[in-house]
Amino acid sequence: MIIISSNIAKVDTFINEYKPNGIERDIITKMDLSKERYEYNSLNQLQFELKLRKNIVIAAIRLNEDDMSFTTFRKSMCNLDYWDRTEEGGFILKKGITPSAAIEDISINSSEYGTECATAMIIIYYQALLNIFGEKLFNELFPEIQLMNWHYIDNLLEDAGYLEKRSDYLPGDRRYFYNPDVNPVKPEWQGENVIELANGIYFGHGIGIGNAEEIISELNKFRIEDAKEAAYLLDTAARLDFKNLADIYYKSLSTSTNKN
Amino acid sequence: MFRYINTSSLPRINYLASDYKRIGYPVLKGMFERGVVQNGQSNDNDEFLDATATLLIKIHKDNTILPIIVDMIFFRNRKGLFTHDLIWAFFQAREPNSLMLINYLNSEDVSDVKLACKLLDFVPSIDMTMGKGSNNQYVAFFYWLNENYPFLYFTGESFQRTSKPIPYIVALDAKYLCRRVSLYTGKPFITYTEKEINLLGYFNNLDEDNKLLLSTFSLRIYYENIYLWISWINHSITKQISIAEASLRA
Repeated sequence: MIIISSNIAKVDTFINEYKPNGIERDIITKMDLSKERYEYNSLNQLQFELKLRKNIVIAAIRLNEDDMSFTTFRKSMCNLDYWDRTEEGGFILKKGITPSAAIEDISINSSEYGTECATAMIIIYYQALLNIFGEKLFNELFPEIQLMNWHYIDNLLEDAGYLEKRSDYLPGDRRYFYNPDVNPVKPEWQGENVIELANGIYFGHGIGIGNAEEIISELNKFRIEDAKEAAYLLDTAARLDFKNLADIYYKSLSTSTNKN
Repeated sequence: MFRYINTSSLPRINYLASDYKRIGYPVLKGMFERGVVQNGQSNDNDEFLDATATLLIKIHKDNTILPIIVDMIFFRNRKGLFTHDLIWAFFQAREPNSLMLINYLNSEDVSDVKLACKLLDFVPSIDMTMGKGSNNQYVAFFYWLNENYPFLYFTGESFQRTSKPIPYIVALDAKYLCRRVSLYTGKPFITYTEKEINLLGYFNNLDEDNKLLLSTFSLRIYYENIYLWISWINHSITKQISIAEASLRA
């Protein structure tokens, strides 16, 4: 159920703004049919979430098509014109470089980058937000970026670090496949962080795009001999604080309008 | 298409990955002990060291190396070196008592305290906002572990999965019934009786605060006076709560 300004939303009044078979329609329909209450202060807030989820999915698909390698932290790589690589294997935004340029460079010069699956999720979030916020707002909000899985996550994105059980799973959610019997010498395959795309399809950096069986099949290749337990998808998801990000976005728009 | 760069560019690592079952424990232990003295000196060496440590812990169940592992982690952390895999290996030992080895809460080095708090963040008594630890935190942690050890189970959570992993969870339902659980499943070693299942039916419908209240109180009086416990547990759930609350207020 979708609640907007304390009223049950009639989705017919806005669902037609979105393309048939589009991600937004899929999300609206799932939310509408759910027993879960999806509450928003305004239609704008909901529309922002739909837009951001769509951009997360687009960024994930794009990263899959790029040439960024899957590596462990020990072997991570980045374009040193834009990032400094830490001893831990993370990337810190280089002084004097704008955050937006550095995030864009990950796509432009993707072959110069290599990292593991969790950091790839953060990159996807930043790319999606850059696409929506635009350079000016993005650079104001994220003046210092450090990329290394969930360790140095910006406060505005910290909700993405927590997996919780949900009533529904929606495109743009971060999910996790757990591989309990992983080969001890291959800890990078202890699990796979993925973005839920649509219709039971996921993207995970290091594996690519596939359904649950395909992702599990890949993870199972990295198990100990005589493994007893297969990899499996956790019944949880992590989500950005869409409403807070929406409020920031619209406040910024409002400020810009007033100045003009 | 993604490009997977073989994470094990070292022949030694590839050897471990493919032949670990055929490498005897003494050989592996020897490799580890020789490598420890070079901890933090090179990335390649640390990678091999981490791999041997993980194999010793996961395949050979050698927990004797855990104190060394903890020291290695904190040594590398102070130097800003890679600790991710070693931390994972440490928790993979699935030994809650090993958490006591993370006795860096009182360290003079702020980076030690921060890491200790981060690793133990799932423990209720640990306050990550404290830049420098206090003895109180460590003592509180000791008492928490002592009280909850029989009811802990291993979740497998790690920093790859979440920003605040909870590697061990207290099975509050088992604690409420004062029944020890398996570290691997969170279930009691002997299945619950019908009466216990009935009690849990009410217990599991409570909110977290009341579950915490009842489980803590139950364990306390169970050891203080078993007859009192039997009397208390046979009350309605509402009465149990009011007795527990009154006792805490007293």
